Parts: sequence; structure tokens; C-alpha cells
Amino acid sequence: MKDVSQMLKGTLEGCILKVISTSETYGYEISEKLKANGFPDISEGTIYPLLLRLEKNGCIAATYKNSPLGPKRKYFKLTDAGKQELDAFWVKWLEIEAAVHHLFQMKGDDSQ
Amino acid sequence: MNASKQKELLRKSNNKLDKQISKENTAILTDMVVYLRVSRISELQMELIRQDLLEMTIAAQERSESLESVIGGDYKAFCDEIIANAGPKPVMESIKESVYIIAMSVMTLLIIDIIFSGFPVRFLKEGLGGSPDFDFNVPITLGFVTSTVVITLVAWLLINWVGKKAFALSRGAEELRTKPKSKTYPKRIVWGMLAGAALAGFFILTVKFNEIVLFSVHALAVIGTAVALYLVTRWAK
Repeated sequence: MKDVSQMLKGTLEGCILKVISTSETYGYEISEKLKANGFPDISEGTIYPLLLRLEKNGCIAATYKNSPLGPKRKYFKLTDAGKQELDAFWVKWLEIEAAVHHLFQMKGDDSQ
Repeated sequence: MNASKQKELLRKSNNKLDKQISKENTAILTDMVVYLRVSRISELQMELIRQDLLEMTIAAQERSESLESVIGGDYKAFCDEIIANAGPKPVMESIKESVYIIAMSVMTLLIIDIIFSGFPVRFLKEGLGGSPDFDFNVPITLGFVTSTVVITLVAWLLINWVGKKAFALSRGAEELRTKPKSKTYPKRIVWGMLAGAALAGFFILTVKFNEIVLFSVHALAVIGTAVALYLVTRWAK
């Protein structure tokens, strides 16, 4: 699969929530942390619309804080709804991961 | 703080931030903001998103990174993602927007119509003297009604078209600058002639329709209507 963006689409929201759950953070830092964890081609622009959706759905809350350079920076923290969403994501992810693992490790199957 | 006040404050602070943006990034941001403005995003959220985009751009400039590397090359797709994920415009805001456009347009064109009808000059010459025979009635013509509808509709369509085509228009303008004039002139001449013909047709019809008086109203009623429309624009703003 050449383009992984479609695969990533569904999982990125959960991963953003995970990054925000560790500490209050801002868009650029989230994209850098995702990249540092091995997510390919994740820019601030990739995650910005997802942050908007998470904020709209009440999973994260934003506050503006002074930045050492330039304008105020938008920091995000997880809300209670966000914590629940993150837990639900992790449960679903483990199920999917187990299913994919199981499928690919089936003996006598030539699907690999 | 109410939403309207918050929106105005944000707009002012965003306009200040705009000055920190490089010329190259200004061109990209302008296209994005124009495109987003004609979408279903509320005006307050639009200013919040504009603030985020400005902050993103200024931070990228400070890191000496291009906006393309931050957002990706497809700015329209990025904006479409924003529109899809942002909250929709409240119904009341959409109604107020339409009311504002119509009231502002009718008020302006009504004032222009009154001025060009010759009533103010006639009033200064004859009416001020207190002549009992002075006719205070102002004719409302078919030309006024049709031109008001056409101008309002065309202006609204034009703003929306320019917004929706912001990225394509910028690309087109760039092509016009770089392509040899011999290749672009025929197309431009045809479009210019078509626009000229449409304008000429509109003016001829308006002049003809101006001869058809639908009804007459007292000048004070016209002034009262203009004032009422102004108050409506203040409420809808």
C-alpha cells in the first residue's frame, strides 16, 4: 500500500488524544511527537482539522497562552469526554490489532 | 462578552498579525481565508480559525519553514478538511447575514435612486419656499425594483463565486502573468466584450424600466424606509 493516509485517518484521532493525555500541548508539538513515534508525513496541517473536530466534539479543550515568539499559542488538554474516547479507542484498537495479527499469522493461508 | 464583540476584537488582532506574514505566505493565506469565508463556517469561528492559521504561519516563518511543508501542497483540500470538521453556521446567523445583505443593498440603492430622481434639487428649489403646490411624492419605478434585485443578486453571486474559486483564480492570474500575451489576449477580449455587453444591456433595460412608474410614495416615507433599513443592518451586523 503506497498511500498510508487512508489507513491512518481512523487511528490518528486516537493517537492525538494519547499525545494530549500525557501533557497539555499545542499543534506543532503534537505533530512532532507523532513523527518522533514513527508516524510518517504528519504535519501540523494534517492534524489541525482533526483538532478542530475533537474540540467541537468536546474531547479536548483549548486555551491560549503566551508564546516566547510571535502570537499566542493554542494549547489543548483532554476533557473527561476525551478520556472516555481515548479509552474506547484503545479497546477498539487492541481488538483490531488482534484480528489483523490473527489473520496474518494463520497457517496454511496464502494471504500473506 | 457577546459573540459579535468577540468577533470584532479577534478581527482587529488578526489584522495586526497579518502584518507579520511574508508576501509569499500572504498570497496563500488570503486565498484560504477567502475560500473559508464563503463556506458554512460561522463568522466567529472563521476568525478563530484565521487566528490559528496566522499563528501556524508565523511559527513556520520563525522556523524558516515553508507554509507548504506545514500544510501540504493542496491548500484547497486542507480548507475542505477544516470546513468538514468545523461546526456549522447557526441558522440565525445565516438568516441575519441574508437580511444584512438585502437591507444594506436596498437602503444604498434607495438613497442613490432618490438622489438621481432629482427630488433633492427640486425640493431645494421649490419645496423649501413652502409652496403649497409642491409635490412631495417620489416615484418608485420598475427600473429601481429590477436593478435592486439584479445588483443584489449579482453582487452576492460574484462574492460567492470568487470565494469558491479563490485557488483557481489565483492560479489563473499567475498563468496570465507568465503566459505570452498573444495566447491570453483573445480569451480576455471575448470575456471583456461579454461583460461589456451584459452591462450595456442592463443599463439600457434599467433606463427603459425607469419610465414605468409602479407607484408613488411620500418623500418622508422613503426617508423613513431608509432609516428603518439602516436599523435592520445594525441589528443584523
